[in-house]
Amino acid sequence: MKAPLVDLHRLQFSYGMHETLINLESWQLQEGEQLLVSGPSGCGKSTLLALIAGLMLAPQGAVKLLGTDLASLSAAQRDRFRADHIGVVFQQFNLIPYLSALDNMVLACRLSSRRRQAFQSLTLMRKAAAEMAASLDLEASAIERPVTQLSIGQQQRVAAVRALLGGPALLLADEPSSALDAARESQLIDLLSQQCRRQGTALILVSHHEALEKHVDRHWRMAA
Amino acid sequence: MASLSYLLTTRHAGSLDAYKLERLNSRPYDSFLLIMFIKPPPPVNRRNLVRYTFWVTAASMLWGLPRARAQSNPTSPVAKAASSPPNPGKPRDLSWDDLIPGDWKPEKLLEGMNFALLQDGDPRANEAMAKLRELWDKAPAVANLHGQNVRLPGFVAPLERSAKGISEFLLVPYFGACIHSPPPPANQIVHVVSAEPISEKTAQAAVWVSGRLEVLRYESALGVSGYRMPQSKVQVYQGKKN
Amino acid sequence: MSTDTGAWQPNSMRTRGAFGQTATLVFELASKSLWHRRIALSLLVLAMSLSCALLFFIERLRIDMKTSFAQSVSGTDLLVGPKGHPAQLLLSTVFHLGEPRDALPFSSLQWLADLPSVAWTVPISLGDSHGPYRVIGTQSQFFEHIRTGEAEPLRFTQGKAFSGLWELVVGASVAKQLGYKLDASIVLEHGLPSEESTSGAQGGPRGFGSSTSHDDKPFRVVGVLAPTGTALDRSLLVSLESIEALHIGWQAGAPIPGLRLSEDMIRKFDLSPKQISAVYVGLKQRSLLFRTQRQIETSGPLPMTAAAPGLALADLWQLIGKAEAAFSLLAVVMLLVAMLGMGANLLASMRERERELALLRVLGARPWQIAALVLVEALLAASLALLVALSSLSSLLLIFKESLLTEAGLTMSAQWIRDDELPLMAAVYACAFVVSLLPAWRAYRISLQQGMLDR
Repeated sequence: MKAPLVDLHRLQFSYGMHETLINLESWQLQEGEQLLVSGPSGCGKSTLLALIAGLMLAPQGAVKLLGTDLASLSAAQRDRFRADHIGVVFQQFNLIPYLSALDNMVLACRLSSRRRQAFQSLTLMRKAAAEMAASLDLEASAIERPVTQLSIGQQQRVAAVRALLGGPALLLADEPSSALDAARESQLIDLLSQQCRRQGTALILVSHHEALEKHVDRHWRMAA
Repeated sequence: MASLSYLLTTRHAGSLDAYKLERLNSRPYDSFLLIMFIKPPPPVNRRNLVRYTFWVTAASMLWGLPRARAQSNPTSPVAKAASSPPNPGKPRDLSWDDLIPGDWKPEKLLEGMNFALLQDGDPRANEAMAKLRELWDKAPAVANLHGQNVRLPGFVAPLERSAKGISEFLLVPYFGACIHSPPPPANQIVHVVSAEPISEKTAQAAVWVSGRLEVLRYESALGVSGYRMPQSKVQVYQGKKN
Repeated sequence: MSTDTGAWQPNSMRTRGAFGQTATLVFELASKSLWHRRIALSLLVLAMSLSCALLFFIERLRIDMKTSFAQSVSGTDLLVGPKGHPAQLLLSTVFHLGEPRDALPFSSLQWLADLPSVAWTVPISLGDSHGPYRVIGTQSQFFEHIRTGEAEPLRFTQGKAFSGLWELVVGASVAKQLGYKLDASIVLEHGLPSEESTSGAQGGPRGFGSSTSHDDKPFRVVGVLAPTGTALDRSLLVSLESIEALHIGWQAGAPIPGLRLSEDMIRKFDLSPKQISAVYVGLKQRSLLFRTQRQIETSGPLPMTAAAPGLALADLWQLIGKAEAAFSLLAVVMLLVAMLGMGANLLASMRERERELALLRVLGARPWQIAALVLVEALLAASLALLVALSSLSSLLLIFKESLLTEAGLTMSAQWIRDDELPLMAAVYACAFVVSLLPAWRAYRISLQQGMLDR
């Protein structure tokens, strides 16, 4: 059996003096696997994402990504690891307001040396971004505009391209479509899921809409 | 140069690892770099060629630009350092006393006068002083110093200024020679023309002047000669160097 | 594009050229961020460029003024005048600043010329004016011995020196401003230059002893000097006899009413000069300076001051040194104020930009890169301000070059930037850097703390 992409072992996390928020004995995610994490607010979904992404360190337990224990890396190394292997899409405020959509899309790639290596030059990077945007149903005219002029759905797709460009191992999506209506939401998640499958990127989708489980491989309901 | 460019474009490695250990046994130059935690430069191939060319050009411009500017502006310090001619002979350090002929002894005038016997304000004392002063003014120069390459410390009394600073001045043995009475005699003043104009700031403190010393003959009516240094190097005085 | 499932690579395998690429990215982000906030920043950049322009202007003015003064007189060993302060003698005689208060009798000129160390003497007489320009009475050897700049002799663009009565040589600026050419007829006035007097004022004297015109004694232009960049350009030169002739029939500075004398009649009078304001002296050897100076001041026929121009200038620089320093300090403080404004703006914007910085952090930017972003923004703003300041300063200097020269006798170079101003430029950048340290540190702290949870 191949090593899992994400391997959580005896993970415990709590904020300050509150009760333990996350308490996992063992949890894995395989490569290319797509997972929906749902649950009521405050159950620790976003915290889990933060721990997997290396933004926070758990005092107890191990978080292993691609066989590397995140706690064994320094803060700078964790930053670099995150840039190299993880793409992130948020619910809102995904984009830098003073850059165009295309610039936003290539941003994560430019910040990661590993992902940058996938392209020979910046121009090729931009071309690939435009292609991926097209496959996510973003028109070419939308790409050149400043991002403040795009609709929410378009912005989320731009964020998706940004997260997926360069082929990261994992995509973390924290309620990406909660601001959209049901039809558009379904469409967006469908596109996202298909692109991930094409690239072989694993996906952890956090949302309170359980109906989205039809797009993913696994559904995990987190308890409060 | 290639290694410098490489430094500029990569980060230093944080610690020794397998990759470095493998390279440690190769060229000694590499070992030195590795010991200093710097990665040796990659080989030049087609992919790197453009980048190498860029950095080599940039580095050589940075190195060469001051020199190129110095060529068009010969007064810059770089030009002076680069183009200073070989010294034909180290200039001889001179003191102000050397400018006075050895056989000139004004004390001779005061021989025969016993100052202890005079009252205060005795007119003979004043006369003697006036005679002494006249003699002092007519002091001759040391002729065989003419043409020698010498170095003399002193203070600056500016005469001519150019756009870049003081180009001509009188070198005197003490500060404020122009306001003290009596002024220094003719053999204690040197008329200096500086090869490079000096700044006002330099002129406020003591300087070394080195160059060829000339002895001038005046008209007989004036009865004195003087010293001149036509093309000299002027430096800030910083203690006697041996 | 397949994912990389191998073990995480150690540091040394990172791609080459990473620093250069990140630097480009930071630069791009900084410039786009500034452009995005351009409306708010435009006022700040304007304030910064104004204060930069002032700073550079003051420094350049200081240096050019000193150079201009230093080059006003060359080749003259001593300036002899009535007893007074050497610097004051220099100012009134060479720079035409301030009035000559006293005068030497003409006989002292002969005594000076007879001194054994003196090679040449040139007497001058000041006190008359023509509009805002001074009239200098002198002898024809003025044009032979007086030099300016770096021992450059006086040159004529038209004509030659005066040789007799009623002949006039004009300086370059006078000829240009008033349009005087050879053989033009001019009327001169007595007294100091006044602002509003015109040549040929016919009205009666304003009060006692004020400017009145010698409109019955016209002069003829026989020569026009080439520009020298000194006060000579704003002068008119006549012979000492002409000055005497000008004052025949005057009492206490006003014409005797009803007295009109023709030129021929005037020639009959004794026109030998009686008084002179100062004498330029050249020595046979320059090292005789102190001796001669002492001799003139202590054993002359009357109390006189012999000023060595080089030394007197050095004294002058020391006198005004403190005022100079005060002006420079003022300009520096103004720059600091403008820079602090920019710093405050940056700091305030940190709060608005929290999300943006957090996003950059999540995407993989390291905290020091985010701090560098803020620093680069400040430096870019400073660059823009400098560009605006220097280009507008040099354009203004170019436009007003002529008026500066004629009005103030000042030659200021209109170069964009000079070698000796480069340290000043570096200081401006250093100031911007220091001011942006606090916002950059705030950005650093913000980006350290932000996580995914605020979203």
